Amino acid sequence: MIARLASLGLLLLLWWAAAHIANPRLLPGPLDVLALAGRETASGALPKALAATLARVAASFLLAMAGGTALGYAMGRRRAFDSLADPWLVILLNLPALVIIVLAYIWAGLNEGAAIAAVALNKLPNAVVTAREGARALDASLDEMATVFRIPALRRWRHIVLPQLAPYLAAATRSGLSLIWKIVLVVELLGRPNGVGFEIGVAFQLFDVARLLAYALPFAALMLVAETFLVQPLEAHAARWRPRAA
Amino acid sequence: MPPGGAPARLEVAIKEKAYGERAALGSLSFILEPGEVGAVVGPSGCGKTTLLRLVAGLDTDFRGRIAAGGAGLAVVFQEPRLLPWRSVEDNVRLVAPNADRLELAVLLARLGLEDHARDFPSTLSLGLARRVAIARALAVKPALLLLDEPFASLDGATAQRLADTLVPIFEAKAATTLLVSHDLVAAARLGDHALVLSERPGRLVKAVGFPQPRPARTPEIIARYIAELSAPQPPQGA
Repeated sequence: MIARLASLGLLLLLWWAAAHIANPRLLPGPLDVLALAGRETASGALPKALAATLARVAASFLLAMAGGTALGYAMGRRRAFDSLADPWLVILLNLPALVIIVLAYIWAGLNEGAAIAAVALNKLPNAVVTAREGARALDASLDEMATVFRIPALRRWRHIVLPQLAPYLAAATRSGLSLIWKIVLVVELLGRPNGVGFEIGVAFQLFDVARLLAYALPFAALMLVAETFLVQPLEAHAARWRPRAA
Repeated sequence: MPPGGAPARLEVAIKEKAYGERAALGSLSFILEPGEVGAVVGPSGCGKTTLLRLVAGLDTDFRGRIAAGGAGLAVVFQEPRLLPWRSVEDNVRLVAPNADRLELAVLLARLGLEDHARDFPSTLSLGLARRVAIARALAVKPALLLLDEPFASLDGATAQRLADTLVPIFEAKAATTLLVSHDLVAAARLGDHALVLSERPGRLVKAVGFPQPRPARTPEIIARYIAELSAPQPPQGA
């Protein structure tokens, strides 16, 4: 924890020093950004934008993870399905995010559904690949055990399959949240009337770097807090059965 | 938990089991009456585990017929196959979600696991892990219980203690049991019958009955049973 705080402090110090040397219009100092973020928070504009963006991140993340896990699991378990779906997966993996977003807006219109679907579709192949790896690594001997004891599908999934997939899903979550947040901003910039991405578009038009940072950094801070107080304790709990490394 | 039904009558009539070109089991027929313990012995690689997988229904690709009346199957695999991310108690509860606390505590105590209910499997010795696997199998109150080499890789004293634990459990005759083991002593201590298999592909070469009740088997009686098992004899019907 102390190492974490020290490392953050060092980053702030570097920023502060760089701001002293650079033109303040191009790189405002941390205090100026903090002051602006405070004003925007007091006016309610920042929390509103953050909430809109977070809602989009949550919706597309859940969609992508649920769909990706189900598809990846099916592909990892059924060879025939895997060889059928794999080419599609490779195409989707290599389709640029921007292409998917623009196509979604053109085909479905500039609406919330198109925005969320476009983001989810960008994350989906990634989740599929990771879940497929996990499904391929499932222990066949535990499957046999579950078959012999006739453990019903839901219990089997929860107690036998999910704990084996957990490290893979955790990896997909980590890389997924940051990826999705970045794509949500693009989606908002291109076709939404609110959210952090929209505000950054405004800041770009005004060439207002302080405003840009004041809107972008709170999300990073939020993720850091979530990582420290939510993800890491959860992981420690999920790994409590593992023998400690000597 | 399935109702603690009557033990099954197991009827095995295998004509042949092959993996591709390689025959694993030859002609092999026997019957276990409800509550009996049949010990399958034979040289290693003769197809004992294959036989167990066929009886368990994990492999249905063979010529012949296997019938077990009665519901409820439990298998104690050679590697205990416990969930490493669940405690001992939760591993047992996984297959018997409706077992009440007391019932579970009694079962764990019967197997000498009362101090390990909250332990994770990675902290247990192989001997203890096998006991957990046996507790899990008994928790479903099976009509048919299959054990695959429960004494393999255990040192002599540990194997002996495990056999001591199994004597009253088998004597209760709650489940018809097929015990696969290359250990003749264990077969003579725990079986009602021993079924001796030949070298691969395993055929039934001899069936020996052990009439004495398990708790009354003295070392002399067990030695006599082992001698009977080892004696070369023409095959008889099971």
